[in-house]
Amino acid sequence: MAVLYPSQEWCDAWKVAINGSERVAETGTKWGVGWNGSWVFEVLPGSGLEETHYVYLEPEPGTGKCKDSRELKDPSEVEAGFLCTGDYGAFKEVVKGEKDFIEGVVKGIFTLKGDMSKVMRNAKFIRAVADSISSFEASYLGE
Amino acid sequence: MYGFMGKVLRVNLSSGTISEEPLPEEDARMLLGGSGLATKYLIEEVPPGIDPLGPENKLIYMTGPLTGTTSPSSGRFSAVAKSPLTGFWGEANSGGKWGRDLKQAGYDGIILEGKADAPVVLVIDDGTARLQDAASLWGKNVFETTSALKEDLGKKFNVSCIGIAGENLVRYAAIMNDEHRALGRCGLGAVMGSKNLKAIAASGSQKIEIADKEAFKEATRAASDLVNESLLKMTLEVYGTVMVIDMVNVKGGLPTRNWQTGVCSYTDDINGPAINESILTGRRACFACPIACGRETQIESGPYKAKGEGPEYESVGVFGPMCDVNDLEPITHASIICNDYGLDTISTGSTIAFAMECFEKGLLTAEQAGGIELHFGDAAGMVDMVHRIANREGLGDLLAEGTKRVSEKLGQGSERFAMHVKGLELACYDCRATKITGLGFATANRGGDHVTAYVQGPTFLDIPFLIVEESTIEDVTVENPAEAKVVKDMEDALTTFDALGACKFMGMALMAEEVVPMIASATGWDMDVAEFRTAGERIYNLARAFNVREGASRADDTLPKRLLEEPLPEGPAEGLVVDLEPLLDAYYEFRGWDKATGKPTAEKLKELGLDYVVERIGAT
Repeated sequence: MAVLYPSQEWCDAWKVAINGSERVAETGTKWGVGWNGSWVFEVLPGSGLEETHYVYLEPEPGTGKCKDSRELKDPSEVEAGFLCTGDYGAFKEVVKGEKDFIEGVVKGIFTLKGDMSKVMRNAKFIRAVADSISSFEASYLGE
Repeated sequence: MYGFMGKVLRVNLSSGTISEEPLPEEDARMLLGGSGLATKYLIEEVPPGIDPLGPENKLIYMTGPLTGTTSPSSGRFSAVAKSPLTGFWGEANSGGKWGRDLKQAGYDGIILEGKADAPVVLVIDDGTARLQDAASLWGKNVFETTSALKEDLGKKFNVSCIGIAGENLVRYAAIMNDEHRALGRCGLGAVMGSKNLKAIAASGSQKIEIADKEAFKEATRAASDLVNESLLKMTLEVYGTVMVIDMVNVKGGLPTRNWQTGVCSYTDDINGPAINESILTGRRACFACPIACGRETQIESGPYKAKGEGPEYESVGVFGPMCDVNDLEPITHASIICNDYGLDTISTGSTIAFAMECFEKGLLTAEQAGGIELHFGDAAGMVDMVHRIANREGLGDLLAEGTKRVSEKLGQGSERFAMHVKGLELACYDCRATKITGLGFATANRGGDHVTAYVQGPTFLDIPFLIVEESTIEDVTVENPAEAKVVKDMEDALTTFDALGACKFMGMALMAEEVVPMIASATGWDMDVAEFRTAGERIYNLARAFNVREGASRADDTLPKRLLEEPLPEGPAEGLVVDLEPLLDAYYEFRGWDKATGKPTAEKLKELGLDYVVERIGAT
């Protein structure tokens, strides 16, 4: 059954997808070891989303597993290592598997803030986590 | 010697004599090799004030200790001379496989001096060298010259040569190798042409001895693994260097219509995905490179039919937004014919864009230009002008002199938008959008260059360079003098790659602690990170000393008036200009240079072991 993106149900489904991904497990052995590897995704309004929405993702250091995935009311609820910002339409395309997340970063559609040296050295893990996002069925606002 | 072949070839083209001399190991350790070592030869052997296109200039090719080894992206080599474009330190660096082939032919470098009476080719064949007549090659372009030499000498020979542009002394002519790889900047192709040297063909099977094979294997494997895992590989391999065009545009700093604005409306038509979907036929890696950022492209039919390599980001930038051409076909065609003529694409496209603005402002007229008019967006006119520049025909003869000289000739305020530093046309990053990038352009030893400091990495691309301890720029839209240290550190660190014979992209993915073990195990030098960093600073100061000797001062470390006084008219950086002076003050402070003159102090030079240049530049 499709889960609405964004929603807590969708966050739960993403956690399951990450934890079931062999690629994530294989590539995540260095992520977050000794540093904060958690993410906040800031989804800007548009394409059916009326207000800015925040999703938190906390990988378990060195395992490639997901420890926590949830909606936030305010990004200040957590202390994340990375902030990824983009509009809902762009995130929808990634969730649908229509847009490559890395290509979105390269094209400036998504902006990243945080220790980019960690991103530089763990690109395969980031791509694996991003790809897991489209591995389950979702429904969308505005459609 | 380990890591080196231990020999340099000296070729006097006037007398036709060829000799070998030992590579000075102590200098090699101090300056690592490559452009560092070549610069020492240059400052010691080329007298001050000479004509760069006269026989007294020397063209010095030099590889580094990593060139041709299994360390990642180690196919690179450098050449230096006094630049006919800038009048200062002329340096260019190229990839492909030619550097490896020179080394395997038995030599670390070549010093070319004098001028041949008639066109010649230098043939280096497995430890021996000879000059042979090149009359039949003179007048031929790069692809034809390369093919003819391979047919004559054998396919195992690799060719570094000039095309018609170098023969015609176009001041920004390039020297090409592997057909599409360029010693691009500073007009070294014109220096080669001025010596009547058409090409150098190299082949050999000699082995590069490694001091500690096991340690080297381990260090190179670790470095290659890090590169293979990196965002660098993931993006450059898929999209090539053009991947950056959207990131630059998003920040409002993509030079468009000769830097009249930093916002371009059609990057989707000319970016990495657009190339992949339309003209890409394959990907090409330099020797030992795990990335393969090179593009093989083909336009199958029509007026812009062409097949070759590229375009790179800078070529797309100058033949695209700079000339306001929104079509990949003429952009790619222009890039490929530049390779064939042996022209630096950045200087070529920039000079054409400058001419377009001059026409639009009425500073150049069709009457003056032999009936030709150039306007922004005129793709056919742009391509036609590339041919005219290489052949020095009509207006092309004037534009072959480069933006600085054209503006000096035209006057009428055109110098305000003549987009060069020290005579070298700027690369496509508008520093009004990311201020510290302007400091990098202003202080680069070879002029308005983007890869000397590569500070657009952390600014425009939000990508750090791990080779330095800190490359973070907090707010790119603000001039923060404290961040001038990032420029200084990046200049020093990235200079080492041109000396080592490795690609600067490795500086994004690798830390100094991961590069140094490769150098140490290859050469047998007991080198640590501190020595590595000092070597970079030493090379940078040596090149600066050459410039000072040739008359450079703080006044030359500046930017075009447009960047200092004309605010960007639109986009995220609307209203911004660069306030350079506070950044320069801080930069000189970090460098230990005299703030008033921009000259390295005697104390700094001595600290770096460069005592021998103190007197030459009158350092105090």
